[in-house]
Amino acid sequence: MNILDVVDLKKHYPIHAGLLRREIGRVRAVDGVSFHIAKGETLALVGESGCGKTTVSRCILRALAPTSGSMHFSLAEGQSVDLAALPKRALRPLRRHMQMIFQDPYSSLNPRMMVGDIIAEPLKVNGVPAAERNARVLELLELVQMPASARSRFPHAFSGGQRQRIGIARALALNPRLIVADEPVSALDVSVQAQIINLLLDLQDRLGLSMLFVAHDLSVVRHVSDRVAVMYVGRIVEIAPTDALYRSPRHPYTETLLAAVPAPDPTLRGRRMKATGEVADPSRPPPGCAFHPRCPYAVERCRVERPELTEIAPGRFTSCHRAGEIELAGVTG
Amino acid sequence: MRLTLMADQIALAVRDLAVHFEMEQGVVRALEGVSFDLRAGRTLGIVGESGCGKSVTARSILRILDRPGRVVGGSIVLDPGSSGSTDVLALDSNAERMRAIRGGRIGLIFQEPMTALSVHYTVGNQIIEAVRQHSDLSKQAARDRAIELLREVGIPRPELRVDAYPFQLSGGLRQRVGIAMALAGDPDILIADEPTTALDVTTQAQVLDLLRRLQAEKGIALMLITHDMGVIAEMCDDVAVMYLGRIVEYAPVETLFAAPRHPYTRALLRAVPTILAKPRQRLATIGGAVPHPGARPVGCPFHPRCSEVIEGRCTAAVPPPIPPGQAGASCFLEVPG
Repeated sequence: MNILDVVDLKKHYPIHAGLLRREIGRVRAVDGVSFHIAKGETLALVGESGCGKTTVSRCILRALAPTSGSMHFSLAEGQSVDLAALPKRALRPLRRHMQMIFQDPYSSLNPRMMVGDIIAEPLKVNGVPAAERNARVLELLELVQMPASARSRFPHAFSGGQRQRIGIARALALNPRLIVADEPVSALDVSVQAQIINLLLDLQDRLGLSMLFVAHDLSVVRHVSDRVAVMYVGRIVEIAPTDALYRSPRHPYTETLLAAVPAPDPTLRGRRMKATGEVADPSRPPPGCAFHPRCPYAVERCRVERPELTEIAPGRFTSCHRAGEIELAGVTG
Repeated sequence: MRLTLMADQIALAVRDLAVHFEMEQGVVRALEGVSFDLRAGRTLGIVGESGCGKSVTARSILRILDRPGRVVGGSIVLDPGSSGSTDVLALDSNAERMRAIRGGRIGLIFQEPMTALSVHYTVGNQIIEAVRQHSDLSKQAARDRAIELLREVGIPRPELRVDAYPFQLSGGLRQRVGIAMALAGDPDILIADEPTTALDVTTQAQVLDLLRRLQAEKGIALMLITHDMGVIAEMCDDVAVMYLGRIVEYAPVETLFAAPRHPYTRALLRAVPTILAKPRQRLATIGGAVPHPGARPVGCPFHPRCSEVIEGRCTAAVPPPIPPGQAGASCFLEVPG
C-alpha cells in the first residue's frame, strides 16, 4: 500500500517585469515530478541546491500550493485524499498525519517552552487529555533515548544532537502516517550525526515509519533510505532501490553525483570523474535533457528532445535517451 | 618518495600555540599547545568537530583573531631556520609588515566567500585592490592581472566576469573568486577554512581539483581545515586530528586511515557515513557530545567519551603532546605506564 502517490507535481513561480507587471517567464522549481512512498518505506529525495527537492517536500506539506499535479495521501486502507486539491481549511485535520523533522535543531524548538511541553504540544492541539499526554511524553523521550528528566528543562540545556532527538520525539508524538525530514542531520557534527542516523534506523524498524528524507549528502542517504529519487533542475532523473542506484546508476547525472563524493579512503584518491559546468538555471532550462550541457554521453537527440522518466527494469526508472546503450560506473564497497 | 617530500622546506612552523578567550564566565582555553609545520608543496589537513579549535588556529596564524580571543603563548614562525625568519606573533597585528604577510605570504580562503567579498564592488575592483596592495602594478596592469587570476581559477569568460558583482555569480563561481582573491598577493602559504562546505558536491569536486592544481603549479604550502574525512582522504598529505584545542593525532594520510592510533580518530573514522555503506548499515557512535570548551574535562579532554579510558591515568593527567614533525597520538595508550 502506498502512503503517498505524487503524480506530475509542478510548482512554477512567475517572473513579472515591466510597468504592467506582465509575466515574462517562469521559474520551474518543480516541473512534473511523480513518485510514491510505500508504507514503511523511506524514500530519499536527493540533488544539488536549487534542484527543487525542498520545494517538493513543502508542496507535500502544503506549506506551498502546487501549480498543478496530484498528491494522493492514504488515510486508511482504500481511503485517500488529494492533498493538492484540498482547500487550506480541509487540510487541518490531516496535519496530524504528516509531521516534519527540521534541519536546524536550534531554531526549530521554542526556547521558552520546556521540553515536555514542546513534545506535548501536538498532542494538546489535537485534544489528547493531560494525563495521557504525560504518559506519552515519557514514552517518546524513552523512544529517542533521552532521560525522563529532560521534560522539565529548556532546549538551551541540550546539545545539538539532543535537540534533534527532541524534535524527532515531537514529530512522532501523534503517530503520523508520513514523516518529512528535510536535511535532519546535515547541521550536526560527525559523532552526533552517527547517533541520529542510528536512531532513525531504529525508529524505522520499531515503528515502521514511512518517510520522505530530503538530503544532499549521498553518504547519509545510502545508510538510511530504501529507495532514492535523484532530482535535477526540477525533475526526477532517476528512481531506484538504494543499493542498485549506488552500484549501477542508470542516469549520467547520478553517475556524476556519485563520482563527485570524496570517499573516506585515501587509496581511492584520484579515481573521480570530472564534473564539468554548473547546474542549469530553472528559469531557463536547456532544451531537450536539462543535463545535456554537462553530460559526457550527450548526443544530438539529447539536445532537442526531452527524455521522460521510464521504467527500464522492475522498480528502476530513468529519464535518459541513452539508458539502454551506455555503461555507467557506480560505487561499490 | 616520502623521504624526498619530508625534505620539503618548512614554510611555517607553529609551536605550542595557546589561545584563551577571556569571557565573563571564565577563561575558555580554545587552543592548548598546538604544534605543526606547513611545508612547501604539501597539504596538511586539520580535521575535527566544532569547538576543536581548527578555525582559531587559522585566525591566530593570520593575526585576525577576534576579541576576546588572545594568543597567550607559543610561536608562529615564517621561514624558520632562514636568515629572514619571522615570528608573526612578535609583530603588531596592524603593522605594515603584518599586512604584507597577510595576503602576500599567507592567503586565506573562507568557507563562505562572501565573508571576503564586498557586495558593493565588482569582483574585479576587489581583486585589483588586493593585487595593488601587494605590488606596484598600475591600475591597468592590475586589472589585467585580475583577469588572469580569474582565468587561472577557472572562471569562464573572465574579461566579462571581472565587471560582475558577487551576487551575480553562483556559489561555485563565488568561491573561485574567493580563491582568486586569496592568490592576488601571490602567497606561498594558503589556509583554506572549510573551503567547500557550503558548496554542492559536483562544485566541491571542481574546487578541490582547482586547489590541487594551483598547489602543484605554485608549490604552495596548503593548510586545509575541514570536518569532512572524505575531503581529507582526497586532498591531504598529512593530517592533524584536533579535539578540544589539542592535536590528538598526527600522521601521513594513508597511515591515519589504515592504522589510526588515537581512540578519538578510530571512533571518528567509524562514525563517518560512507557512500560505500551496506543497506541500512548502522554506524559506530561516540557516546555523548563534544563538551563546551569552557567545561573542559580534567585529564585527557577526550576521556569521558573514550572507550579505552584508563582510570587513574586518563582521568588525572593530560597525555603528552606529539613532538612536531612526528607521527603519533597524544594518548596514554602510547605511553608505557
